[in-house]
Amino acid sequence: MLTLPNWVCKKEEYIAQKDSDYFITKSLLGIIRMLRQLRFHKQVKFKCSSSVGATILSIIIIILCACSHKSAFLLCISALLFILLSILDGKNIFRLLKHSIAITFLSSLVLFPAIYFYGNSTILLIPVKTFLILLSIGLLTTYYNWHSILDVMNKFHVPTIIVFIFDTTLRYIVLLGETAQQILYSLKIRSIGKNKQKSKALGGVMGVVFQKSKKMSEEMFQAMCCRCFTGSYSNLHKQKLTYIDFIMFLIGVIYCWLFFVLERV
Amino acid sequence: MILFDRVSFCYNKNQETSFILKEVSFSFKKGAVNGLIGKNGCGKSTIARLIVGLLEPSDGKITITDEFNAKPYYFSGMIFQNPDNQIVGTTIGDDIAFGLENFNLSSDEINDSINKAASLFHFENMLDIPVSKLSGGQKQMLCIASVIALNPCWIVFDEPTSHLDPWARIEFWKIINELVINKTIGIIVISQLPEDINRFDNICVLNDGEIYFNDSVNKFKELKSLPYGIEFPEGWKLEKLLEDEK
Ligand SMILES: Nc1ncnc2c1ncn2[C@@H]1O[C@H](COP(=O)(O)OP(=O)(O)OP(=O)(O)O)[C@@H](O)[C@H]1O
Ligand SMILES: [Mg+2]
Repeated sequence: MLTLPNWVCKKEEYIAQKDSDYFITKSLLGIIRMLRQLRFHKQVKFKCSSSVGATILSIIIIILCACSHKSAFLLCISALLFILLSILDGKNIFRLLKHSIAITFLSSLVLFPAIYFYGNSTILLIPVKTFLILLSIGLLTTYYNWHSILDVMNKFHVPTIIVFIFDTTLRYIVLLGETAQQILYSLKIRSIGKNKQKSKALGGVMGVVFQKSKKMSEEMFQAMCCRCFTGSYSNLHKQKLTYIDFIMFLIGVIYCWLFFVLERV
Repeated sequence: MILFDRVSFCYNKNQETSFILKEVSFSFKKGAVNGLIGKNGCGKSTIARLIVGLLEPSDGKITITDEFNAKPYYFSGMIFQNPDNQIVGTTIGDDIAFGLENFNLSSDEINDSINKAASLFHFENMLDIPVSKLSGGQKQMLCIASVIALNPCWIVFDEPTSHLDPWARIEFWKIINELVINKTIGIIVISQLPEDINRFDNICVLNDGEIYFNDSVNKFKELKSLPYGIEFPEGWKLEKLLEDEK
């Protein structure tokens, strides 16, 4: 008969201490989750609208917003953005506001010394501008899918290599996020109890993710070539201009006019 | 037919020892299931990449011809080992459409082909589902669907059933057999599963950068010994035992 050694039959005495891995879970996994949402969230679908007008309007608003020195003009822009925001459903509103406010907060922390020493109103406008620009980008990607935005870039003869990099980067962020998440989970599972070296392992995790990203990009490019990708995006499904595009153009023109009127005061 | 004529290949030209293939010659024929087996790291995926033209042979010649219908614009598609890295669309429909869009087809034709390929793999009602929500097996099915949608002359499957459950495997082989009977698409299957050997008509065994065997499965059955690392399916071993008893 098989006799088990003593230590097998002994009762488990080890009780794992609680370890605070707050840093890892909050830092890396948080960032990854946010990046994922950039690409994979529920799209709000509008029928018969192409993204041409909206993309141009966003670009106009971003440029004007960045150039503006007057709070009155920024208020006008925020009026438009909040109207567009209010049409969305609660979940999307929350998501957009959360991300924009978080990043705005971070950027104003960086600016804090400048505000403290040279506090004047123009510097205070910078966080507001950041918020508005982020919100407008967020709105654009919520209303329209990625494909149609790529198509607009193509229409305006943005070099294909840029479109390609843009496209693949966002594809990868998701896949890489998944990889990093898996490695982190396996790290967490293996380090039961207190482990002081956990944050040291972060470097290793990022290294593995980087190596993987190289391999993945190679393989994905090969897979794309195998499916007759020749490096051009000339065949994105074509969009027709609709009346909504013209309304968007019109809004853009109105805002340009507002900009000149308000900035001259 | 795919003909390898004294093909050599190495990844690193500076190292003499790094030859993956040493002057191999063999052929695959359309209208039959061609199997390619060998142990890990013997260069099966490398041969697949050579066939689709992602790699160029260091020496020798690869000829691909199509006896049945000439489709000069698209010869060979490939399904890679890892399903994650070859999905390029955000939704199932997007991914199947990717290759078709590169052909400059009209949107009606594209939709037609998407629906055809999707219904083969029961994806008809899932076209809008984001690919990140698919399981490993579903991803693999999607990869196969999006290459079959392109209707190439040849498809190389690099371990296509590694993430599929046994029932999905049966389904997969049904589809393959249909393709073979219709003689529309030439099939090369790279596999590590002994039971898959039963499904092959012709088999090619790779060992240490050389071709150990290349002929029909019936002849393969009569082989006395196999290189280290490759085994006959369990069923065949039983059959042999029973025969020996008699
Ligand atoms: N990009 C590369 N650069 C250098 N060497 C490589 C590269 N890809 C593969 N190799 C080497 O070539 C050899 C054959 O690789 P290959 O991927 O063809 O094997 P395989 O038969 O498909 O193995 P598996 O059954 O594990 O898929 C391996 O020893 C590998 O180390
Ligand atoms: Mg392989």
